[in-house]
Amino acid sequence: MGLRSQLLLLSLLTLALPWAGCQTIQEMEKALRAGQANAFQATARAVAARLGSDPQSIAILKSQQTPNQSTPIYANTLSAEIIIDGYDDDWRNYSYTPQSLPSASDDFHGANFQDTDFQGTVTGGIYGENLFLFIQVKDDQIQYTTTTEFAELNFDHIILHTENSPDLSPQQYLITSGAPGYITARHLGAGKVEHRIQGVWQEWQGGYQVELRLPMSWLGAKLGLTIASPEPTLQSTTTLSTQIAAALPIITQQDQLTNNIEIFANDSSRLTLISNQGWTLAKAGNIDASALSVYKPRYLMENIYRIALRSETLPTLNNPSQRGRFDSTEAVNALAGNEKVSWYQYESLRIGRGAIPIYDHSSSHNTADHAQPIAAVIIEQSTDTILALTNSAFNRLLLYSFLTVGLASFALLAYASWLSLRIRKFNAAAQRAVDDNGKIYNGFPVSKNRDELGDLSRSYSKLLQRLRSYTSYLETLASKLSHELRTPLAIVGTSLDNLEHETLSTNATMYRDRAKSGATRLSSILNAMSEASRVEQSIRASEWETIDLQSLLTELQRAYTDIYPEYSFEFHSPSTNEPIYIDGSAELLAQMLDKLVDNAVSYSKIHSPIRLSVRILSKYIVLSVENDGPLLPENSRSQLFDSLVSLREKNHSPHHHLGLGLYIARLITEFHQGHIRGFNRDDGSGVVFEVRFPRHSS
Amino acid sequence: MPRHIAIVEDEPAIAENYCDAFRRNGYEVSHYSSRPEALGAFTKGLPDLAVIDIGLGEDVEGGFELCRELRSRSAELPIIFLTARDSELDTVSGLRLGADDYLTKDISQVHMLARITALFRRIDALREPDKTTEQEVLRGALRLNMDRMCVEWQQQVVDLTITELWIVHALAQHPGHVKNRQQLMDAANVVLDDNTITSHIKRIRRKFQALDPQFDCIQTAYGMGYRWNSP
Repeated sequence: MGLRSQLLLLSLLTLALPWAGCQTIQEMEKALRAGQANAFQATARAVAARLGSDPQSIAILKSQQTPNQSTPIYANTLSAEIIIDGYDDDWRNYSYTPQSLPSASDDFHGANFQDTDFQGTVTGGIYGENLFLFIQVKDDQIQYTTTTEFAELNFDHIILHTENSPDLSPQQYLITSGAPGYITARHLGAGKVEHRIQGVWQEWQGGYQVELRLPMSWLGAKLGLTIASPEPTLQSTTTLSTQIAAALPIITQQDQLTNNIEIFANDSSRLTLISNQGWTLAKAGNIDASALSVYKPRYLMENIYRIALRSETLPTLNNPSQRGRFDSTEAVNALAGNEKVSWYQYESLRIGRGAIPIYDHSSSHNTADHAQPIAAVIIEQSTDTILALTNSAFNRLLLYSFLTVGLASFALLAYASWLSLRIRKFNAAAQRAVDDNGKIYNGFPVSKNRDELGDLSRSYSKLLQRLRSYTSYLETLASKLSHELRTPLAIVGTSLDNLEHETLSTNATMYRDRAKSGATRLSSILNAMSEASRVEQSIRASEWETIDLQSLLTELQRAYTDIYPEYSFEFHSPSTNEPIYIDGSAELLAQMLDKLVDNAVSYSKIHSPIRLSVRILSKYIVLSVENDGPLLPENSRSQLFDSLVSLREKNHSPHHHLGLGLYIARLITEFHQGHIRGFNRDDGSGVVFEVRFPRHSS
Repeated sequence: MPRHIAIVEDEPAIAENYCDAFRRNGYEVSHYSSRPEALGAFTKGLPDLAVIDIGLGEDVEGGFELCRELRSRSAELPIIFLTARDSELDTVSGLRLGADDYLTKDISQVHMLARITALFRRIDALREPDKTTEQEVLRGALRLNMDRMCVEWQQQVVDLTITELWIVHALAQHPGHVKNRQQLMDAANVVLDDNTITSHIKRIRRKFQALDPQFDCIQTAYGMGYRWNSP
């Protein structure tokens, strides 16, 4: 992977930035919510304290207290008069939930006796001065009363318990019907018909239902309900009742309290007072989803926010305004004396709901045990403003982090590109510095930068310089050696020459002759060794002229045929008549070809052909000398043209091969600005040496 | 009277060997190891021939100085330069110090003596100019006198060394015949490699062309050698 891709990958680390930002926003949101919760809890506490120290409110609240397991009748607020017809049409306009009455049977069948065939619900409502009740009973056997004797109540009936006599003693009224239609209400005890209780008895699929109207002024504040159905088999009556033979306060919304709490409510919060059993006593304020929602994010953004901020899905707000009863955890906790806050989702809003217990502060402060709450305040508030804040913060975070990531990536990419450009230039220069033959060129660009790349470039350049000087030292080693050896050789030679004129014994003559031949060989070796430097000299002294390769090679081919009669020489050229011009020195070229041909001859078998050829390319003229014979070894190709290197198997050596022939050929080629290389033929039959010259410009 | 040869050479072994060889051939030899020593002797009396080593000890220029000294005293005194480095030959001969030949130290005795003989013969010929049995080779504008060891081209004297003269003689004797390098080397009484022959030929050509820019009689036969081409 190139530098750029590596750095680009690294730049992905900057994505940690937006992630960190999201975490921050989440924390911020939690903190803000906690702050808001504290705020509205404070408001609720204020309300609770206010009510708890107001004797009037306390009195009202206490009047609405009911024992824990009881089922008081909750009178909802009606908006119109109910027509008493025994049907629940009118009631359906409201979505009030009916209260079901528990079984009140205390006979020996046990407390767990539950007869699912006998169930009853009651729904209450107040309009004007009347209390309306709708009682629905599930009973598979309806027994109407036929008599006017009420000693034993062996028929389906309803008993109303009240405390509306002047002395507040419990009264009971029996409600019966002989057939579907108007009911008759009688005071149980006195036996008098009570005309103030009006109602209609109707039958329905599962049993019977009764709709009653009772004037509030006559009824008072308490009411109890018992529904009875005779069981012939059991010879007892099974009853359902609000509380065993007792009247409970009618729980209804109290205007007085509503007025009291209305000053605390505002547009974005809703206050509710609940009784000690969780019945709504007062309501103020409003949280309307559609009106309040000032912030409507687009669907896509909303999803992004949710994923990014990992916001919790909140439970849906149950709206007890319909049922009239609060039984959510906050309410339950508050009525037990603990404060609690929970968060809910209400359509597109998030609502926070808190509950504070109301204590009776008017009593003495020295009560030993913590008093029970007489009621509770529930406050609900939307977190719309917080949502708006976090969303806008998130927007900005996204923008800034994209900017930063983009900038960082771009900067890193640019820097990586620049770095990789420098390294590539260095690489290209390094490759140009040394060619295939191992020759080291001058002109390696040295960087002036102070950083690591610059250091690398400088050390590389130093390396090349040292290599170059060492190589040139090696190249001249041979001739230097020969220079040094010449003087001692002269001593030997001249001494031996003198020895020739002395009379010697046969043996001495033989030794002298051997010494002489050895000295001669040594001399020729030295000559060969210094030949290279002589070539360099003659190269320097040679004259540049325009040469016709065609005639030169033709002449040479004839010459070689004479000199090496055991071999055959072929000459191939594109055309035999046209001259092929290059610039150079004819003598040097002839010398080079002499060396190449000498090389070819010494490595090929007798009578095998040696081919000289010329080819014209667009920019070059290519001269080649080919011979059949042993191949060049693969991996020492670059050493081939160095001095004193002899790589192939020789079959005979006409004279000393110090391996200088190819070196000289290379020197001459380079003088002509050409390039020489040697390679094996594709079919492995022999070797080709190829010299390339730039074409004569005219 | 035997001829007097002076050898100025700092390497004793080589010098002694040459001295012995020369004495064996009937010459009188004096050996000097340094320039001051030689100069001192030359002021007393000039030798008949001088063989000078170029690199005399530490003094690189010593040989050149001696040569100039001798030449200033005698224009005809034969001087032979010796050098250990064959790379210097070109440079040295280019200096045109007026020596008669430039040789490498590993030259064999036989070749050295051949040169000395030829040089003395030339001196004799110069001293007796009216001998008519001189050997001359005439080829067109070339006039080669082997006794006097002098060459004329278009009636102008060409200043060739002994080696060069022998080469020209070998070529011109059979005009049109190609002489290969080995043959030229033999004729020149020298053992050299091909490149040195090439440089000799070049030098010869340059000397002729200095007198006559149109000179083209020495032709290269590529791969084979050289030939004299009389127009």
